[in-house]
Amino acid sequence: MKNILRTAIIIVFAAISATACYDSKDNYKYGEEVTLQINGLKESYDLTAFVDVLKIDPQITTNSPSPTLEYTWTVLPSNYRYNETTVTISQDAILEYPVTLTPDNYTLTLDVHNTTNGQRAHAQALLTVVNDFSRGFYLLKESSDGGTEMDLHLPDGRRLDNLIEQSLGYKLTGSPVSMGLSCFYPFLDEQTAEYQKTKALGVCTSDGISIFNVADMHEIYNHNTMFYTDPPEESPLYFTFCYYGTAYLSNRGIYFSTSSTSLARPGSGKFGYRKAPELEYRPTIHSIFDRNFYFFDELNGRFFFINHNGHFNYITNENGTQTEHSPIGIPHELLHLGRNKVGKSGANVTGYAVFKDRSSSKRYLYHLAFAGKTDNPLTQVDEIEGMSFNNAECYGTNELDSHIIYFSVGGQLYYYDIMGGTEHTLNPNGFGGEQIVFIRNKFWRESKDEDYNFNYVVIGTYNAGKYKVYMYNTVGGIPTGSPVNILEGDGKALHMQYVSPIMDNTSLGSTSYYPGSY
Amino acid sequence: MKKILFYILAVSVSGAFFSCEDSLDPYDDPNNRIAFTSTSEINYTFAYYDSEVVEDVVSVPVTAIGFVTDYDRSVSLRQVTDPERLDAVPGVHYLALDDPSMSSKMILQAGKTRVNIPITVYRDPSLEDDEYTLELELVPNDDFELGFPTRLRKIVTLADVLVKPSNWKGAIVSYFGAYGTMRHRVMNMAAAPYGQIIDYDWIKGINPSGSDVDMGEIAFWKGAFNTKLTEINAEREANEQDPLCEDTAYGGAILTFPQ
Repeated sequence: MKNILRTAIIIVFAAISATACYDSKDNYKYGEEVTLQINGLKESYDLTAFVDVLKIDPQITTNSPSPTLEYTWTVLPSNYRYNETTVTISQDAILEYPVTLTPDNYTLTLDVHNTTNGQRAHAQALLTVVNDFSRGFYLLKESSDGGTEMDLHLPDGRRLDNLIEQSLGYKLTGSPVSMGLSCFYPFLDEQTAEYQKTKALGVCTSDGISIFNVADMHEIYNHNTMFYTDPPEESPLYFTFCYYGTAYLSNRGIYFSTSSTSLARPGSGKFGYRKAPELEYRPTIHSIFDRNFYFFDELNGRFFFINHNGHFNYITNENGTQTEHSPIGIPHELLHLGRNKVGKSGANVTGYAVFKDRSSSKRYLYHLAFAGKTDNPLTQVDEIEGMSFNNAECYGTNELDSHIIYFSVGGQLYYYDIMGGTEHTLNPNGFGGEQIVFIRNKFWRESKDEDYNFNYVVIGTYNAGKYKVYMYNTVGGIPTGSPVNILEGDGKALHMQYVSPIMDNTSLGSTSYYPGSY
Repeated sequence: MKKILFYILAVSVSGAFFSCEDSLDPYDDPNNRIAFTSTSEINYTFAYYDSEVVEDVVSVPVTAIGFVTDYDRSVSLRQVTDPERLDAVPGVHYLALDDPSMSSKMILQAGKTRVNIPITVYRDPSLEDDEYTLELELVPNDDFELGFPTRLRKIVTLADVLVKPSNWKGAIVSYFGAYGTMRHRVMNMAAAPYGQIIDYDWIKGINPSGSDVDMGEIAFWKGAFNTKLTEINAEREANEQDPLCEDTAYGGAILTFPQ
């Protein structure tokens, strides 16, 4: 027992002796932490290119005894591509930068480096660079002396007239057909051979199409240059955002130009062969986008859609609830196709299609439960007779608040209550009763742009060579109060798009932020 | 005795301290070495060209390792044969490596580190029936020792039928479908109006490494191939023929292209 105890004591003492000589080589110093902090940057800055100077005087605090500080201010597009690099805009302690960036959203970064001890700190802010083209209501119009033009109504009330002639030096020939927005449109700049990305407005006329860069209103492509191949003979109908690309619809078929936000080459913006070469089909202009892009083929009397990757899909008459009516071989003439999001989420959306009987004044209202599937979407067909609805000249579906379709006869506005099967006159305050030429439910609900959010019924009118566009807030889809805004100008306005500098592929990907009806 | 042991221990310990020193001497290896620039196969076929084309040149890139010199250096090659396969025959399928005209072509010029060795290949009728293999091997000479052991041999396949480009794999399969000779043929028919040949270089150009791919261009080619196939099938239908199928060696299923 003594031996065991003696051995144990020796081992313990030996262990203590061995560790007692250990010389700690660590370099921890439990002194005061050396700090380097940046304050004074706002969360975001909104600036106008070639007008504003970005001035920031940051407060740098450090307890480093003798700091030597270096400053680097950089910008990088928020929605940057794989190979884009930051651009250094200043190396001064106080930033004073005349903004010359292309209108876009950027991340502004200040990096402060204390060269005395190697310590670094950085701070970031959102930098939104705009110009006059970045925000406002674009109106497509038939010019009073013929041809197609575009006006822009800015938030401050100013109006920029005849943008097309100012850009190209001439109006587009032919009468206006449509104006669509692609909020993420890459293209190959033929001057620099570099890929660019922007928002683009596609203006279709009876003679062709021109795609304009919203950043500077330059024409990116026209019908002669927008294809990889020789341009086909066709009548352009509509150009619009379609999630991972841009869809272009003509009377000859549908085309899709793929774009990518993450690849070094985001896409050329050009279009290839029409989809479904195996099929003869003739789209009408009526279409809706809701993750998928649905349209009607008047040649075969049926609906098709392309998905967000541009894959063409045949909607069939299988697996549906309707047996009396079919979504294939519809013999009627399509007058209107509108999107309705009420009670729908995800890829589900209701389409309301108004057809005209070819031999009578009867109208058919098709209820379509689109879900990005090829199953028969037809859930109900209403026959409408003996109403003002049967004489309607313009239609517009409310998309967010109720199941109603606005329509007009002459200068009288109505709405058709889809659930009740009844129609009602509408006499909004301040409406002048001019000839109504278009009706739309227009809204912008991106939460990142909350100050500019709206949800209007828009009534476009024409009288004596001038347009007047009334915008009303709504309650349950019904116009309420006086017009929030009235846009006026020369010519006959036929189509409208709202553009915001905050728009990008993600903000329109959420389909309740922006209208989906043509 | 104890002192001797102490000194031995002291010397060993001090030696151990110096043994970890990392000496980074400047590169001064006087030997020049040679290797093929890459290990990938070269698949050559005459099938893309008109029948008037009876010979062509295949470039085989070779890279030197070591210091550049102010004089020309020669590269030496030999053919490796294998009884298990059909080897290319010198003078029949390609210009023999020991042909006198070849010596002037296998030169790495002064001041250069890389050269493309031009191998002249012939359109022999036998290439219509079988694929022949020319396996090249670098051999040491007065100017070069051998370089990377894994890059000393290079395979060049020769044929007069469509052969699968060695980079038809990965994303290319998802873009255009699994390889088959009929698919390859239809793609070439669709690409011909654009002056394109669907071969290794075309694939490399349309599907570069990293994220440099242009999905819009990929989509364009998908559309071109689908449209050509539609035209072919419409003509076949008019002649009361079934839709075009893949060659039986590749399964024989009805040919389709991804959208």
